[in-house]
Amino acid sequence: MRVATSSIYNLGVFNMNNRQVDLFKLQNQLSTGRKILTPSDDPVSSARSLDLTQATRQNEQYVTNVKYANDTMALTEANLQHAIGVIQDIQQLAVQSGATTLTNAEKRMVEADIRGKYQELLGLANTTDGNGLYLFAGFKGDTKPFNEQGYGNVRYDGDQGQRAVQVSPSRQIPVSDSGSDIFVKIKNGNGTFTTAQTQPELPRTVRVGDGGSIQFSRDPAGGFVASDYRVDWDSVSGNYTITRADGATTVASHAALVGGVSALGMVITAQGNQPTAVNGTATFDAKLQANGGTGVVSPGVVADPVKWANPLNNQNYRVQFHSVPDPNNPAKMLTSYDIIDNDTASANYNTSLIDGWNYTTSTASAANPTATRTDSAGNPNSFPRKYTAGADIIFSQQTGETGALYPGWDFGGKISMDGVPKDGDSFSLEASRDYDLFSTIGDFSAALERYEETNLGGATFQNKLNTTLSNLDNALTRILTIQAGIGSRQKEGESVQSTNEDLNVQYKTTISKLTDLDYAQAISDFTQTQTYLDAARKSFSSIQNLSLFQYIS
Amino acid sequence: MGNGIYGIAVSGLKAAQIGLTTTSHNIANASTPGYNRQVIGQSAVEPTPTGGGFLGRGAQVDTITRIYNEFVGRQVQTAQAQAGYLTNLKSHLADLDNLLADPSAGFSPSLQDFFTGVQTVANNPQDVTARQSLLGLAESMITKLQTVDSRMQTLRSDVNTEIQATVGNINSITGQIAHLNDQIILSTTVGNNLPNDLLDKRDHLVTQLNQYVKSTVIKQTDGSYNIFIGNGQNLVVGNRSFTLGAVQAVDDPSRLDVAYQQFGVTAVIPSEMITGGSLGGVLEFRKEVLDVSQNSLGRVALALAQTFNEQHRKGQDLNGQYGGNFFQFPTERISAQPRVGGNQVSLTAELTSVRPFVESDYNIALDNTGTNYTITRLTDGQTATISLASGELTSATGFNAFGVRFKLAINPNVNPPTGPDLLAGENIGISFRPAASEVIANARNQGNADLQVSISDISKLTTSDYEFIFDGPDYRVVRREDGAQFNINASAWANPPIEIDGLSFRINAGNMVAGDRFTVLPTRGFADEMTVMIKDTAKVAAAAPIRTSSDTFSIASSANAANTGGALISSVSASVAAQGGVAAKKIEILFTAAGTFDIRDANTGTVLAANQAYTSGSNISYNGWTVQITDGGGPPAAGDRFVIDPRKNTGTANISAGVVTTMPINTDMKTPVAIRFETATRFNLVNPSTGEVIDPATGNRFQPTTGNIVDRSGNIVSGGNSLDPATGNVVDGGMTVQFSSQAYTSNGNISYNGWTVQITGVPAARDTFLVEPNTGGKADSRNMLALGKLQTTNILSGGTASYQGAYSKLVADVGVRANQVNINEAAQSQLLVQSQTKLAEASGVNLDEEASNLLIYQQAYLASSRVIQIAQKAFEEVLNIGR
Repeated sequence: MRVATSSIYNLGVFNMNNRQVDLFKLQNQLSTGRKILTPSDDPVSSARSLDLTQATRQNEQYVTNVKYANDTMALTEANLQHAIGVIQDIQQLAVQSGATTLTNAEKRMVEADIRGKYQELLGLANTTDGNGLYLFAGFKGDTKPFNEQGYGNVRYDGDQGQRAVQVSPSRQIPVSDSGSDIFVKIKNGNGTFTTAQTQPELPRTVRVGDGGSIQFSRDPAGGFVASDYRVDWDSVSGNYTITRADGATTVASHAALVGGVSALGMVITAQGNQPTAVNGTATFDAKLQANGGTGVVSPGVVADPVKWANPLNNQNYRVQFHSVPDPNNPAKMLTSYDIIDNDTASANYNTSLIDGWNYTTSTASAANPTATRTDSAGNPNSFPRKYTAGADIIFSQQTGETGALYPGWDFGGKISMDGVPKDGDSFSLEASRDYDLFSTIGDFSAALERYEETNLGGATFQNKLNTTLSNLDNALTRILTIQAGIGSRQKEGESVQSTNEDLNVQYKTTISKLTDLDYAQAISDFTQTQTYLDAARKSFSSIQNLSLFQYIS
Repeated sequence: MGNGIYGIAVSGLKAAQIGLTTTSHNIANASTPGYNRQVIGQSAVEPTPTGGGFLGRGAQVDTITRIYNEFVGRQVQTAQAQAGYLTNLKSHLADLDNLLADPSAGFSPSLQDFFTGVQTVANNPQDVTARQSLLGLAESMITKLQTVDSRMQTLRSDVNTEIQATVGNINSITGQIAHLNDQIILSTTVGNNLPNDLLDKRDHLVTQLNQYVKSTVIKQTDGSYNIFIGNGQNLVVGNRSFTLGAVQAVDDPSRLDVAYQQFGVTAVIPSEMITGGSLGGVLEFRKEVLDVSQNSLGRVALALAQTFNEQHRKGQDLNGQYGGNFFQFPTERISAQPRVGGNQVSLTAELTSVRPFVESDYNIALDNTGTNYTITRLTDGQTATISLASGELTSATGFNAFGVRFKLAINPNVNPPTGPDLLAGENIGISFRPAASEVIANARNQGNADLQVSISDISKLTTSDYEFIFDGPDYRVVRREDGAQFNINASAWANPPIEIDGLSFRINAGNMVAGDRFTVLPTRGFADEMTVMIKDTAKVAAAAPIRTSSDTFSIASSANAANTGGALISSVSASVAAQGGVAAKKIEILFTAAGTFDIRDANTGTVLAANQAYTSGSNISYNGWTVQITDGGGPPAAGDRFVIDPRKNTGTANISAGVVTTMPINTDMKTPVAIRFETATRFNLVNPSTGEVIDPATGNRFQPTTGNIVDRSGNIVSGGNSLDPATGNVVDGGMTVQFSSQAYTSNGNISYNGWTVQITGVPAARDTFLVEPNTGGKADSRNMLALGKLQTTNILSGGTASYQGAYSKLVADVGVRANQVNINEAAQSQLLVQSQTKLAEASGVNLDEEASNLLIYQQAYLASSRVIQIAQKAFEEVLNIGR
């Protein structure tokens, strides 16, 4: 074979050129530290590194987001912690107020304390965050969520929105809780039903025409009769005439009423001016059956929620007491009770669950025609169940009972009663409903204000206190639950955070593996290529020196 | 005798001289490209017959031939064509490769920055600086997109320039070859010897031609070359050459094609016919890489802009209005919706502005009485009203409002045709879809049709270009990428919409003539026209337009059974209210006299508002609700009581936050609707302020106070109906179901007015859930969160790629291509060098060899000279004998 002289040059240049391209690229890699200079160097890795860079950037954003979420939740948490303290204070005050040794004045002092706590809670509920947004207003960040219409009557103007923060590609953590969830959605009573003494009939306020208001409250001296009352104004005589439904009346001038008058078992007090009209009439109803006894009802328990959920159970009853002197021992009272459907919308309204007696029509049910409420002499007879102080009142059919409204009924709930109920006293049982914290406190304040230092007032108060304490307890449970939720979300945030940070490290490692230069390898490659280039140059120069012409002279 | 020796010596001298000349020629041309070494063919001269035998007469040179292996020469030419192709493709790919290379300066980081901005607004929706920063980041992202796109555009014009230059070079080379053919024919016919240097030059020109374009050489018997390219286009025939030209493509004036010109006729050579050489490389780069890459970039931009806009329009801005378009880009000029509403009428909205950009969706609604149409611009709630009676909306000219011409018409494809008006109470949304980047009417079109191509489905978009062809009467769409054909017969065309690969076709004006063609570039250069539309930070729609509440009151009102007066509660407005605005207290309205009442806390008896004056039928408002008490059977008596009981839900069910599912927005979206459970398993939709039960199918309402069922216009459909408490159905006196309640499934979708919510858990009868407008929701960032999720949502390529994924794929595709070409190019250069070396092995000049030849011929020359000298001496000897 032969070689053309031009081939020696061409090939030499071609090969040296290739080596130089290699060296140039290696030098470029060494100076940038990047393995992939253009996507063509490693298309798959460079596309993957683009995707991973996005994932990393996103992840970094999630890390920021989690921090933001934790800050917001910490603020909520701190406020809730504060609220818990206040509620516990109120609980303590409530328990304290239950002491029978407290005088009326002392109770009023407790009430003043409670009003202070109430304002503190209202302030907490309207807390703003660093941006001036209300923390507990849901989405309506710049709307003041809790607006007081009157003491104990607070309107929630926020919404139920829960603000959320994206903390991972698939997870949004809620960072806020709406005020309605925290302060409003609190079930009263025992959470399933609530018991209460039937409402007191007094005080009442009326106005005649444009005259000032006239307040009727119970005279501690007694003599009050539950009834409808009418107030007539006669401008000629300048007197009010107050007439009870049974005809008993009392007459007093406006001025006298301003000073306060005790009559008809009531203390009557007027304010402001007398009516300008010639004549005027106003009526008021003070015949709601107030309990006269000392019966105190417990919040009750549902032992079996499945039985309680029986569709027959309309969860609206009253336990009515009947008390007659023992014929054998007139000094001793025989007390019995009945459980009566109290739902005005129910077909069985006013019907005994125990023996089917209908109190509206005073008739026995077909199922139990022998049921009766009078004895042979026509006097009121005992109710179907005998009352024992401190014993349970069970919402199911007991042995020996016949003619039950729902045969074999068992609603799985019970309440217990203590004290001595008077004849006609009754307690209601209704399904629990949401009752906001401010109403609970307001109700209790009202109970404290109206506290009367009699046995009777004591029992009324005690019943109110029981209700309040269980409502406060529910509120506390509610806030603790919310707090636990925040806690677990914070935990989740932390765990997401550490996952995100781990992922960041992992992404960065992968990106580095994909795109970063292995310096040892590159330097070794560089040296090797340099050696090749060197050898090519040297051999080239020696080959091109070899020419026959050098020897021809 | 002596004469013979002289003669022989001179012949040797002559031959040696020719040998020396040829060797010198070889040495001189050692570095001439395309030169092949020449050798002399030397032979002995015919001998003279003598008695003593044949007497030699010396040497003679018969031929000077070049050493050239035609087969290897062809190999070099082929290798050259392939190398030229690969080298040029490589160099163009490297441009694109480098453009996409830098990970810190490309489109990706700006995309990520933009979504970081979205997240920041999601965390602080009320923060003006966060919103401002989002707008800035959007601008810079668009700038990045535009930079990449405009550099691709530069590469595209570079391709045109190169085609022009290359075609010029080819023409010059073919001209020279034709000329050489002529010379060679002439020289060859003179004698039998070949003009070696002319042949070399011609072969070298052929090799050069192959560097530009792959050509086929056919050697003619007269020694001339005929040269063809493509599928048989003659470039050289004998002494004639034919020129190529670079001409504007008829289907895309911005593109130059290679055309063949012969006898005054110009014919475009399809680019796939031109293979090899740098011309083949550049054409392939444009078709296979640049077109796809630029389309792909445009597709990412389009997907981002359109999907972001769509989600943004589902939101609510700080002004409480629906979100508008976040990004601005050209939209279709006419938004046409065949089959709209119950009457299935056809609705068109045409932009009357010069530039087809829209900010907002629109809504067209016919009021409940069927009297007036109201057109609403959703971003600001502005309305324009036109009476139905005027007929303007259904006229040929339509009704102009907000720079849009709205038109309603009978849809001829509905049998029987109805309309052209909407039904009373109906409302229809209108939005304008993105327009395809370019629709180019073929320069040879006979018709004047204005073809509109809109993007109807982002996920189906490809990176291909399309051709729309009217064959008359049928239509055809060809996907250029793979040649797939989609036939649309005339009847299908008449029944729009026509949708292919996510594109929607429509003729806005004019007529087609059979054979008319349109080139459709759906996404190329889309980023170019893109800007951020929102300038006012308040218009960033971070919130959702609706909110839901499970913390609702269903307000029950009742008159005390013991009342003695004749008054009754006639209505409760806000019969259902969310927690917001209503306090929980059970309230008692106690009449202290016939004309006055107290508002009392029903639980404690506390008087909350004393001595209110009573007027029959006037509103009594307290704690957020309003009731009316009227003298039904006479005035109320003193002592009469009415109880207002705001009842909360007792079940454990919860309602989801709700999402907007129907686009464009239904303007009834923000009408509050209550979902009321009539039993634990069945629910009705209820008007929360009137308590009317809604029939979602017809829009009829059952009024519980009157027992009437009324239609949208308030006309009584039937009376004496009631709500069956056992089933929740609205039934007539004979218990026949007028419309039925809906069955509850936990977590099932409940949709109405364009929203969808889910209720989960166990509801109780009478539990009520409320869907209402998100007024004052300044801290709400649900829509921003939804926008943020778009970053990782797989939207493109049939739901397999995110924005970033699609961009990465573009980078990877270019990278893979460049990588392959780099490898092939390296191999091909090696192959070229090898074949060149192989050719040179025989044909190349070796200087050492020539040096030795020089010595040989020099010595031959000296020897012959010596022979003459000797002959002369011998002759002198003979003369001396005579002295």
